[in-house]
Amino acid sequence: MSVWDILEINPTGEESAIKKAYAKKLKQHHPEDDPEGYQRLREAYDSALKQAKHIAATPALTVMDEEEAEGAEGDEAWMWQDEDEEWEEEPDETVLPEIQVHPVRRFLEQVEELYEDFPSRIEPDSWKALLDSDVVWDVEHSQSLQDGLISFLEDSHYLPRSVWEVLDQVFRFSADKEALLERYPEYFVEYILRQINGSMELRYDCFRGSAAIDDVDIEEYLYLREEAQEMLGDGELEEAKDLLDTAHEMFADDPDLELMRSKYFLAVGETDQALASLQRVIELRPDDWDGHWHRAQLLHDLQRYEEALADLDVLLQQEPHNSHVLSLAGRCHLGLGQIEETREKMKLSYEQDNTHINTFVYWYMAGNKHFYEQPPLKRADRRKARLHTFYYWAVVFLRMTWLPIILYTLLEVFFDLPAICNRLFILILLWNLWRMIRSERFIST
Amino acid sequence: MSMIGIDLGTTNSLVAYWDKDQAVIIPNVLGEHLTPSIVSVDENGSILVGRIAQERLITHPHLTASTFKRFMGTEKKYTLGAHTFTPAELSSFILKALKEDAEAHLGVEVTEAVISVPAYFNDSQRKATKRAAEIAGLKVERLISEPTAAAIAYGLHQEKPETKFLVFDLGGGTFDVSVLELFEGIMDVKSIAGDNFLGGEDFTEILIAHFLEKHKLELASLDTKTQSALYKQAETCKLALGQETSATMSLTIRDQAYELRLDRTEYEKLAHPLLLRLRKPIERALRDASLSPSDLDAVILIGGATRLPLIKHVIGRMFGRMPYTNINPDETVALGAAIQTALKQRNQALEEIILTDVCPYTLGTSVVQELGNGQLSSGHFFPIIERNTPIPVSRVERLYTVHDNQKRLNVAVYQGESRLVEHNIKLGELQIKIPPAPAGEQSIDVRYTYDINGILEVEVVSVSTGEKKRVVIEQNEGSMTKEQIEARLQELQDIKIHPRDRTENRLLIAKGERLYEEALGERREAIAIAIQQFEKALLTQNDKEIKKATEIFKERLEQMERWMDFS
Repeated sequence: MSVWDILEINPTGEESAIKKAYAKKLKQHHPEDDPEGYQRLREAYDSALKQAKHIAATPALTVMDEEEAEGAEGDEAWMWQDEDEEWEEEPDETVLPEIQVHPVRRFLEQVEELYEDFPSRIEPDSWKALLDSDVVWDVEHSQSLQDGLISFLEDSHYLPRSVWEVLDQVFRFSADKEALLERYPEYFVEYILRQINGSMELRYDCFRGSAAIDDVDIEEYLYLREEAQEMLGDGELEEAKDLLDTAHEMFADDPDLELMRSKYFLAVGETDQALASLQRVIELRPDDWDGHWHRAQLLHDLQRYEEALADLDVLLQQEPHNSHVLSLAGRCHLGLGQIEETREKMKLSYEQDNTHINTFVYWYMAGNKHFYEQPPLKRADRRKARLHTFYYWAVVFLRMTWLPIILYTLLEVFFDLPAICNRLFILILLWNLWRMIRSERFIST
Repeated sequence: MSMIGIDLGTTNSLVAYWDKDQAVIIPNVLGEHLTPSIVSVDENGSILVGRIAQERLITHPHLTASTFKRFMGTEKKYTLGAHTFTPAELSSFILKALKEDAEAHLGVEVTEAVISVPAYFNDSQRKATKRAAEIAGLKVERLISEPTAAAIAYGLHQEKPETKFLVFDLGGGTFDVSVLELFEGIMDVKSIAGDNFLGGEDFTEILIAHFLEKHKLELASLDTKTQSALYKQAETCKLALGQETSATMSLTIRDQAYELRLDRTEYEKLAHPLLLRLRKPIERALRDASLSPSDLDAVILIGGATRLPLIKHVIGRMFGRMPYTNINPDETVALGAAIQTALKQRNQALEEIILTDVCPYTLGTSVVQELGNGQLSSGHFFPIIERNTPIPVSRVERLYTVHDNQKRLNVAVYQGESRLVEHNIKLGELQIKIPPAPAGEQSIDVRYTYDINGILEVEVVSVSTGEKKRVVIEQNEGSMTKEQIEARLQELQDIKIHPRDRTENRLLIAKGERLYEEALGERREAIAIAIQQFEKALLTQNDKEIKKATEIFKERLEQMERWMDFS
């Protein structure tokens, strides 16, 4: 049965006729009383409305199947752009009144303007102001505006995280990843979300108020910086080095670039260079977490514990309860032989995170008796201890040899054994004694 | 026998009925239309509801519960004195009070009701609402979506035969957007979208957060009484900012006075992130209905929070026009629910309107997917009923085994829009045995049936054996046996509820206690004496004397309150 049969009308392109028929039939198949009948009728109605659009469109567009019809509909949002472009081609622009420029287009022009003005573009407030314009709020334009903005960002995406967060607040990218994936390429969706959550953040504050950037091709620099980050992440050290060098020549006051350089130097084993880079990071940004942290790790590995501790102190002032920092500080104290300090730091770290494996390992190491000075024992105690040690080893020895001893004794009682047996028995005892001594050495190490 | 329509709101609730040819709001015992959705337990362990409980929110915060609708359908427990309640049980007290108001007003017993719920309420939240009604002794004839109820009330007065409109419902705790079309006597819901965690309360909470931040205070360091007082200040400030350009919040903590003056632009700045959250649901609802804002004939506002000029302004910006404001945002839903009772009974005075609704979420199950290389990956969401499908609806999908000699198939029921089930909400699960066979040879039919009340039933049939399993998805009650439910019901019946006829006196005392808490020094003494005198008069049980004392006491309290405003 076709949908038209269910509705009891002839196929038509007229929406109102379908609605009328549906309304009439709905009284027979009331959703309260006849759920199945209603479902059938409803599906017929929805499908009839779709077909009606198609039928109504057919005379004008001779060949067009349903999918194409839908496609054309989806393009509608973009129609304004085509129209605008046609306008621009007209020779006499003065005739065109300004108000006729489509608001979305005007907005995108403003975005472009802002993007080109580098000092303003890295300020979240300037984006906030722009994004509060009426056209952004207007739901009528929301889809085309978002499409336009994202396609602009695909080519121009060097923005600080704070600006991405403002964009996220307005367009709620991170709340609905699925919807983004439906419309935009996956790599760029991932890129946007990464910028918002800040997992690969490259900061922009070093450019703020810096006179040096005026002479630099900033777009080129930002491109090099991001490429270098990617190459380092992929372990392509050669490519990374070239990019880092070029970028460093252009602009030398960027702590994030300096950090990447130090990572590169560490990866190729040039410790001194790495240390110099980290030094520079800290000069540029005295409270930089990564700078101090990587330097502390490096200094610890170089056994320069005192210097490492100085860096870690800076970090502990920022975050007194960070397990990683506490644990590394403990290890530095351990390297210096300061057992009490080690235990104190490890305990603090353990209180924060009782699964931190380094804390465990080095905390227990600090308990090792080699790290303690032993007070002299009293004579009686020493004798007692020696006696206990003797008992202990006697029991261990018996535990290993009881079977041969019993066997030998039994045989000796009931049989007259040849001398070779005595020697064999003594040999067994001696062998076990040797085994015991060996195990004692193993345990004590 | 009568049927009533109830709007069970986050902050306020209302009850209405169909009176011959129109819907009418039933006033409560105090003569007011709105009954605050607040429950309190008094010193004797009996339950107080509404305005009295609201007064006690300040004086006895630990014995009082509010905004519990936000936690409907969850495991959250409220401990009030010796009692512990679920959100559904607290709601049942409100419903019971409304039922009594209706019975007093109509003079007949009321046992049936149409209750409104946010359109975006999910299955377990709807179940909890139904259960609340059952505890209160009401049979739920229909759960109706709040925006749909509002749309009916609006549509009843439309002269245009065909109209498309959007209902913007910002209540105390939830935000719903519905797109509807009215034609040929059919009210057709085209799409629903929303945010279950955005409401008027959030616009109050940002003020609290701002106040605390400005004075470097921590909410946790304040006792519950101060917290309630702060909440009330924020609420008053929010409402004042709707009328005037600036407002003040003041609070005394441990004898130190804190004050904060705020103007409208500052408040708008604070509220900006919340306002931005209003957009996505609107966009989605319109997209699902394949309409653009210019296709709409009207934008209707319901829910108390839409009174804020802030919200109205932003709606104007979003739609490029001012919203339709000829309806009362507080009462429309209840009136719509009352109209629905009449429709339900096919009332003669009413030209028939047939209501068709949609389901707000996609419902489906979890399936294993084959990756390109022959490997299997589990946890993929397989939609069976897509969101915004007209209801009632019933859909079947056939699922196959993935392993050789598989003995049983697990059907997990999920709700949500993500491609992976881990991001969706699990509603329930059922298992069915199947005869062993090579992978892919055995199959089951999974049928999802979504009824007109928005409640889901799942049926699974093994194709080869014909074995059938069926569940009405019930997540929360699952752990309780029938006897336990019965026993709990009995317990709740035994709890005393403060007698309705003494409500006014009780309210005056509660109000007096609140003023006492808020006042200081001499004024405090004066209030204490006034309360004592009034209580003494009540003890005489002499109606004439009580009436006189009530008048005096009432006047005195009003005086006091006026003074407080000036101080």
